[in-house]
Amino acid sequence: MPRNLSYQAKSLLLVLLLLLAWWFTPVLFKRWTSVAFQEFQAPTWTALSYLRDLRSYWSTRSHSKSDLIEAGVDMARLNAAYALRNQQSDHLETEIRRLEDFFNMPSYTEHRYEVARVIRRDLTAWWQSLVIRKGMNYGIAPGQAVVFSGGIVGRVTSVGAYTATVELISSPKFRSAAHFEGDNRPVEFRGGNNPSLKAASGFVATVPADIKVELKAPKRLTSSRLGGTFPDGLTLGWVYHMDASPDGLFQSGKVMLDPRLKSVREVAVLVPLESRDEEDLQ
Amino acid sequence: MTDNGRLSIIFLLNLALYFIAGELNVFASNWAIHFHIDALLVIFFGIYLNRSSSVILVALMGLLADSVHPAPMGTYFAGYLFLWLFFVWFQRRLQRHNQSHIRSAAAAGQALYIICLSVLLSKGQFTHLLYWNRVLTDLLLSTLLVFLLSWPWCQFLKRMLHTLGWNIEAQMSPR
Repeated sequence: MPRNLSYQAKSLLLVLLLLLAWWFTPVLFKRWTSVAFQEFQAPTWTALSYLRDLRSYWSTRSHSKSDLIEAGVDMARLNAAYALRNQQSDHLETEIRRLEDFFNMPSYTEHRYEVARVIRRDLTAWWQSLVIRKGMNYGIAPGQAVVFSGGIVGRVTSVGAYTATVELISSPKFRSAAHFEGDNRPVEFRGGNNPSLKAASGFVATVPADIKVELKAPKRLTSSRLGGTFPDGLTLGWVYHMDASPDGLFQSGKVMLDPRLKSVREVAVLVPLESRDEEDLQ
Repeated sequence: MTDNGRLSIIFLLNLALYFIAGELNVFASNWAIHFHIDALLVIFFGIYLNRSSSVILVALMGLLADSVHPAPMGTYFAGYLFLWLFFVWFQRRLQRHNQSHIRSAAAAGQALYIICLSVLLSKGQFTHLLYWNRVLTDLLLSTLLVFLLSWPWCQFLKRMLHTLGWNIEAQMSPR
């Protein structure tokens, strides 16, 4: 290196050299480095999330006994309601099986719910993602659907040994098939641009012109199994207003997503079970 | 303690700051805000430490950030190296003991970094007002945070090095 170069010029050359080395590094090695660094960080993020849980535990412990009794009574009521709904669900399940056998139809993909805590949230202008505390160790794989009590959360994009990354439905890159409640025609849903200090939103397009929504009578946009990721009928968001396209054939509009999406602490991953036909074959 | 040992401690402290920032963003996400503190993670390496040791540590920090962000591979690696270069270049103009210089350099570096990412990662959102609204909010809040924390953070690391037997203020700036 010439001696008359300044400290800054030498630094620039060093950076260019490093970038050149990075450029020529095989992709496989880069991928391996990325996974290695991700796995290196995972235990710390997990430990931090456990600390958060511990803090939440101690703050809950400070509640008075009467608060806890009240919460217990509410839980008992909810349990009773869910027990009743389980019975109805069992009955409907039996009915579906009977009809499937009768019409010789292929069965729907069934899922088990893998509940996981959220350990990291990255909600930026460029991407919106969560990291959850379960990964390959619980059979989670890329592409699986993630849900919570308010509906769809997103889909798993990458999986580590003990953690998984979920792309939120509010992420600008998110795309999915959807349909309006009570209407089976597919529409296109995609994540939106999300301003700060406001609830997340998405965008719906290719909506048939005969579907009407009003501010006082919004329509629920639900997931569609057409994409192969999500089951039918889970809430994506609510549409309050739509604009017709210039040719008048379709409409598009903003989808208001659940405001709890940006503070969700626990989600469930839908891990597909083997279909009943495969089970029967075995 | 050897110089390598001291540098490792500085790197670990930066790593701790990196995790604290992640935790801060978990809370900030409740209001749909994201704090970017990349300049804070790089400034001490760029302004106070020598080139050969600091560039490796900055590259490592870049690889760490790269692995957890869904940006194209190498974005943060290259970004952190250029941010480091920005601070190295700033050494020609700033005085290391002047807190206004350090704070301004950190804030300018952070703002520039967010603007570069916003342009590179916009992908079809470049003309959307909402996108720039979000970027601007994050930029203002992150730059303010970096402006407030950069001087205390550098002071803390300098004192830490001093405690470990390395008086960095007594060294000449390599500019």
